[in-house]
Amino acid sequence: MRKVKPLLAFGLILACCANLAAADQLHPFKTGSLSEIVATREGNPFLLNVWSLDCSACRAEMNMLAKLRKEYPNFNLVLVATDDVARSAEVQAFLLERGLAQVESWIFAEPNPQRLRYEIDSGWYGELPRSYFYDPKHERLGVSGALKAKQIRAWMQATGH
Amino acid sequence: MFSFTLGVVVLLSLLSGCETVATRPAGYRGEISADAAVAAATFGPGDRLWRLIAAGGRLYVDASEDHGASFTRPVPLNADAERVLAQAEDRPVIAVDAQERVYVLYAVGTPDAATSYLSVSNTAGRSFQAPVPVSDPAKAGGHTQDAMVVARSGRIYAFWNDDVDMGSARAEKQGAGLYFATAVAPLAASLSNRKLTDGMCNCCRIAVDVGVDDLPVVFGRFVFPGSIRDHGMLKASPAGLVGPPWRVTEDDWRIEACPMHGPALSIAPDGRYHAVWFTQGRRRQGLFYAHSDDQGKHFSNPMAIGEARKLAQHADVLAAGTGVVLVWKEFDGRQTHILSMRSADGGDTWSAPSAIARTSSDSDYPFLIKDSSGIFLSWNNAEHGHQLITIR
Repeated sequence: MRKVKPLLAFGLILACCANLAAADQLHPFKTGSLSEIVATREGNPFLLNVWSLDCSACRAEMNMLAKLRKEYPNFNLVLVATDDVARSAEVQAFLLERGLAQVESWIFAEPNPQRLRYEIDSGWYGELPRSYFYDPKHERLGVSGALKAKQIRAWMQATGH
Repeated sequence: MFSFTLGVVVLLSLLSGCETVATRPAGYRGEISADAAVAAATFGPGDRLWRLIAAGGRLYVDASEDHGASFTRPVPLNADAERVLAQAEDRPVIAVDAQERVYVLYAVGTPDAATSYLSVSNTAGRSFQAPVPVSDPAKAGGHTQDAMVVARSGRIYAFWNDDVDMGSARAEKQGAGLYFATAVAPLAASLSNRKLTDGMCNCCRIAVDVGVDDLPVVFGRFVFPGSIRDHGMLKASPAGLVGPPWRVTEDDWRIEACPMHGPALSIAPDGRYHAVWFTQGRRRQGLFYAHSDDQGKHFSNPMAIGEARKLAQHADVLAAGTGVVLVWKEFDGRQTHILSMRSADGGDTWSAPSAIARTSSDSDYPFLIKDSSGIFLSWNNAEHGHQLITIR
């Protein structure tokens, strides 16, 4: 029995590290990052969802997004957390817990977050959650507030997801 | 998020363009955490400036006799580093009464489960009593937006939002509870609190001021049926709610989101209520000012403030005698500007907006504070630290 415990502990550490590795894909969102996100999706529709740990409406919406991802593995979703980059570990833990660790995720990483908000949308006051539905031509529709699953389903159908 | 230095720049005689810059006292270096930021400031008796500083999970209070040119040594308030909520809509509050008792209300925890504490100094800021809890201990509920005023009688009133009895999902749809606690010095070991109303938007700061009857008036964003996030008011007394809350703004902002954009309220000595708020409603969009001469029951036609294309936001209002000042933030794509408008006739007519401060760095909300000589802008930004700027 004595030998099992350290082994178990080792196993737990391994599992923990494996999870950390999976969630370790948080990209720093800086000036120019949005263009990068858009450029790598040329010709493809995607949903850009801007959220924060401190936003309760965002947390409820995350559960819905996670469910949709399971339902539609091709759901092209990009998450941007407006929390400071210092909170990366918390953001990763949150995404992991919700089963969203595999989704492309970014976190604000500029000293002045107002510049990043302005770059995302010069008419956006920072209310969260904030979502942008990009069509295949990358014309986009901005929406403030928690999305409904049927809204996203309708958009996926319309854009041939 | 903000990581501002404690440097204080005092800009005097702003109208003539003359700037007097005072450097910060050297004694701070290395004494408190490098992430130190002024979370709140106020004036007390003798025009003494009081600052509440958040640094490394601890709170400190210092004071200045000379409008920020020099400060007393910062006095710590909480014994250990804690997760003090100290940014944007969620921040600690400092208030000073006529006897120079200094009160600090602050929340510790995550936005999901925080507890508010109150600490008082009976020694004019030289020492603080151990903080006592004013809210129930942290549970799974959202608990945010501390607000506090000291009435002229010396009674303090503390307010905060909490969804402890309903959970965040329901609070998101129907609004959270507004809780309050009240006390007079000396403080008991713990304070009792109670819920005043439901239906508060739980991510917008609460505005509170004391009326001519010495009772506190709360101006906040409510969640009205249909997810309409417009504003309402309520009045409290030591016994609790005075009559039901009432609706104030009719902007019809239907949104299931965190606007993270609370209003501001200042009640003038003549009893006029001065209010500013932000909306993206169906009926109007942007920042607005209005005043009321019947204790908030009816307001003047909302006056639009600032430029929408520059994202005018986070306004504050303060009345001193018949003078009233408005400040707010704008962003031009590169720089953040603080703009101000002044009224000499109690808010009936206003000056054109003028830019009074700017930075290209990260910056906090602008706040207005007053002493016997006038109204000041108190503003943090990463570039200049904490600034006290005269508005006359």
